[in-house]
Amino acid sequence: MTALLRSGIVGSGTVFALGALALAFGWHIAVGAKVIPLSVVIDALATPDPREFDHMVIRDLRLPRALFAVLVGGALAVAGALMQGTTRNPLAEPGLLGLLSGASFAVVMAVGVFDVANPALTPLIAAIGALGAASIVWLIATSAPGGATPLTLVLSGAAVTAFLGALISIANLLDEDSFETLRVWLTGTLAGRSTGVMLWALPWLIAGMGVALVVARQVTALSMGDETATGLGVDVTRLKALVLFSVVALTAAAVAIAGPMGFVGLIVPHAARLIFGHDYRVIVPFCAIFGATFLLVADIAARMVLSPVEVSTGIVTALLGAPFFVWLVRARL
Amino acid sequence: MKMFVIATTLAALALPATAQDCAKDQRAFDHLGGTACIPEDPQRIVGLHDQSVTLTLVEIGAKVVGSHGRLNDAGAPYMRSVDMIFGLDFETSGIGFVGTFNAMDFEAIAALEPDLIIGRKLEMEARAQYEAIAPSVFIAQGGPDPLAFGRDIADAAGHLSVWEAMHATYQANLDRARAAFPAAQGASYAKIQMYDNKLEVYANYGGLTKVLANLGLIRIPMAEDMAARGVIWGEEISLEVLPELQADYLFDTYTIAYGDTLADPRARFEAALPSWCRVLTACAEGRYIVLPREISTGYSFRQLDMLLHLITTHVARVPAPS
Repeated sequence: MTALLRSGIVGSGTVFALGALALAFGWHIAVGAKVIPLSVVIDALATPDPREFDHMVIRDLRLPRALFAVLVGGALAVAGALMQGTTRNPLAEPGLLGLLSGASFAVVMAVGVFDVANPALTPLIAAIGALGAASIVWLIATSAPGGATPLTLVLSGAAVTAFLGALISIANLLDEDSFETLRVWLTGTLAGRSTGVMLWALPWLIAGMGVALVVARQVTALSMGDETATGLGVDVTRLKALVLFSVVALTAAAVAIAGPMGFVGLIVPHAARLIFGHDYRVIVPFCAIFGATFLLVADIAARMVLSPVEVSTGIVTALLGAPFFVWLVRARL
Repeated sequence: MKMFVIATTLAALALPATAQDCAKDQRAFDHLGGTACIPEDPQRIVGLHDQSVTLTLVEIGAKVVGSHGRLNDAGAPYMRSVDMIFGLDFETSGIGFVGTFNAMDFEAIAALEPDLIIGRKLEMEARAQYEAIAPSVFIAQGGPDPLAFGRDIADAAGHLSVWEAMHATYQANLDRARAAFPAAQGASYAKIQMYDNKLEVYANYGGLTKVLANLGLIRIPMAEDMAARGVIWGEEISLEVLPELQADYLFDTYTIAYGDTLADPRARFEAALPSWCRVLTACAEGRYIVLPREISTGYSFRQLDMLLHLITTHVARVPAPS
């Protein structure tokens, strides 16, 4: 009976989630600083005319940006879900545990100090940074009295984030000209992102997402505790390594495309768990869909609130995520 | 009685300096921080911002011993615009490097034994530290007359007559340019820039805006609206409203210090929206004008004169349809 009920929820949830994603995607490309009639939007998609400026807006500006939102939102949400499931920490997400700042720091140093602006290398550099920051956060948290609890992990993440932020500020002070180009990127933005970087980030994203889907069942077991997972035949060490790879690859791809976009990995997994419970076989794919939908809507707000002036999408996600974080701390810790 | 003495002393301290209060060879000077006693003829001046304060001081021939600067990729300090416009660097000019923005080296300033420090409103945050070293004045920027900033700096440096002579020369050049190009009167323009795949539209761009206004060109409505809202420089605008930037002339800038070339500004637009030039008539008809940023932002008379000649040359080459 419960299984039937659950499959019913998952079935109707799939229809609802995909419908919401399609709606958000359509909304994203239908609205913007320039008012374009819906019939023209449809024409631009069905029978594009390269001489029509409105068609250019739809195909060259809005469509790629919507695609970036889908990829980045999905990646960060899945990374957050895996982190929360593996660490059994409701506050775990790439931003709060320092991965976003580690990835950003590495990219900033590579571009600003070492003059490495090759888009092919950006995801790799971001991955190294994310992995480095994650390791430091983990080491600090485990060496604290009581070990790696949700609180010590979040505090370590905050400390590492602040430290890396300070290093970025110092580097900026010493060479403000070189860092000028990264000013907006550091706030997390989908505006004017390069398709070239996206193409180089895509393999990382596919690999990270693929691993996430494969290990999702075992993450459900791990979310009940290491001993339970071992009892159920899960190789915990191997699983954690795979999850780490997936999280780092997804975070690196997201940061390479759009810079540090906070709180997406926090909000979305909680929403998915609220609807579908704790089965990560369901949570992971739904996080990908919900994350994409969430970032599409956040980006619509970023483009429309002060139109034609655009604010960084990362600012909108932070405005939505910070109150949610406060609520979560009060409700769950 | 004791309270009376304290109150009188405090009141006296609070009063602004007057000419009578200042020591011999000093005079009272009004600035953003009130009134200060400064030397009649300063001999050792420190400028707290390179491309605005130091640039003006160098141009009028004031005796500059130290300046704010920036660090290039190799970590070497330089004075933006001062190097390019007047060919001066810290190594050969005799001007000492005293730090970068938000990281000023107060000990280096003190070691130069300045008799006057000149800064902007932004530098007033550390006013007490500067005043502990030497008389310091802070000059307002961004008023209705942008040249007032340079005039006040020249006044503080005791070189007002030099500044006024340069101003008269600029006015004469301007009058000649206006007479030569009456068609420019009332023509519209937009100062645009694509940077990091984002479109920036400017309400103000330093000397460029000043010279264009002096020549009689007018900003597009979007830029006028920004100026009316108090936007100091410009805003990042969605590329979707590109057609709203239709103007008789489009001005863009490239930054020599970043290694830009003349072709880079256009290439940046093309990377963001390949057919952008077709959308904007001025670009399609050859009225997209690219100028060096280093010349365009400042208000030194050398920059203003260079801008005047560059703009009139470009405008004369491809006049806008009447």
